[in-house]
Amino acid sequence: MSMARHKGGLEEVRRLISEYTQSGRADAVLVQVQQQWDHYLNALQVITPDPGIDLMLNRWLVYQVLGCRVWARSAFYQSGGAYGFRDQLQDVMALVYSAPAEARAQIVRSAARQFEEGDVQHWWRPPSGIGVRTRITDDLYFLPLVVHHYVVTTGDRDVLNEVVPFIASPILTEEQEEISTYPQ
Amino acid sequence: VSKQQGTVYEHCIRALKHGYRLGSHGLPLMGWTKSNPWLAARGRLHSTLLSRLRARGAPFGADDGTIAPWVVIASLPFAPEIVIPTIRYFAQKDLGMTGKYGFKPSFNQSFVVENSATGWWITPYHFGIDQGPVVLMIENYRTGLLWNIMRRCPAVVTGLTRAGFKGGWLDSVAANNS
Repeated sequence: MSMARHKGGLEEVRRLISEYTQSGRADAVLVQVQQQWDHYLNALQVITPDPGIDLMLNRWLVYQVLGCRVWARSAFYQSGGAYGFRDQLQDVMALVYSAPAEARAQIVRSAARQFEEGDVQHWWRPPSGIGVRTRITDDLYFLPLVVHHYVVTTGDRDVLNEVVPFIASPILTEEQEEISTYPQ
Repeated sequence: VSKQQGTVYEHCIRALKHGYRLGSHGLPLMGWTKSNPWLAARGRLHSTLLSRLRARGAPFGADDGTIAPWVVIASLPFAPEIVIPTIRYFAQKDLGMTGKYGFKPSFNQSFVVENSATGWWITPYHFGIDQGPVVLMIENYRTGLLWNIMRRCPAVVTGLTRAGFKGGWLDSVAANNS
C-alpha cells in the first residue's frame, strides 16, 4: 500500500505483480539479490581465530546495518520508520568500506535536518519531515565525526562542498524540553 | 525548506558551534543525562561527568538539588543504616513508590511547580535503565545472589586478576581454582 501511495500508484503495483509472477522471473531476481549482497558483504573481510566471530563481522552485522538500520529503519525497539540523527549516522560508520555511497547519502540527508540555529531534529520521519526539536547535544557531534570518518576513509573530499539547505522552526522556549514540528 | 543553505562543511561547523557551548564553569553544556536532573531538562546542566557527581554536597556546583531515589537504593548493601531511613523518607513523599514502576527516578523540591500534586518538580519520565540497579542491589543486600553469580564467572575472575586486582573475595576464588 505504501508503495502504491509513493510511487506511480496502482499502475505501478500492477506492473510489479505481472513482472514478478512470470515463471522464472523470481528465481532470476533472487540470484541478482544474492549477488548484490555478496558485493556489499565481501568488500571487507576480517579474519580472526574464531569462525563464529568472522561470520558475524563479515556477513550478519553488515547485513543488519544496511538492511535493517539504514534501509528499513526498523530494528530492536525502534520500529517506527523514522531516521535518528545520531543513530543512522553512527550506523553508516560501519559502511564506509562496503557501501560508501550509502554513508555519503546519510551524511547529506542528516545535514538537511539541521535547523538554522545549528541544532538538529533528533529524529524525523520521511516523507513529511515531522520530527522533534530537543536539547539533546550528542547528535551535533556525530555529524562532524562521521563526515571526518567518511572523508579520511574514502578520500571523497567533494562531500564537504555539497550544498544542503537548513530547516526552520520555532526555537524551544525556556519551559520546553522538546517539541514536535513540521519544519519549514 | 529554510532560505538558508550551506555546504556540508558549514553544517558541521554550525553543529559544533551549537553543541560546544560552555557553561559558567567553563565546561561543555550537555542536554541530557540518565537521571534527568531539573537543570538538564532545561539544557543548562554541565557535562555528564559532573552530573554523575550530583550527589548532595558535590563540589563546584554540579548539585542543582535534584535527588534520584534509585541511586540511593543502589547503595543499599554498602550503607543500609543510611539508605533504609532515606527510603522511608521517600515513602512519605508522593513519589510513586506503590505505582507500576516504583519511585520516580528524580525530583527536586527546590523548584516550585504550580498546581502540581507535590508543589515541586518531579521528572515526568521513568527510565528502564534506572530500574536495573534497584532490583539488583536489593537482591544483593538480601542474599548477594548477583555478586555470587559474577564471582563464579571465570572471565570476570581472570579479567580482574590480569588487571592487577587482588584481595577480598578474589583471593579466595583464585585459591580454589588453583
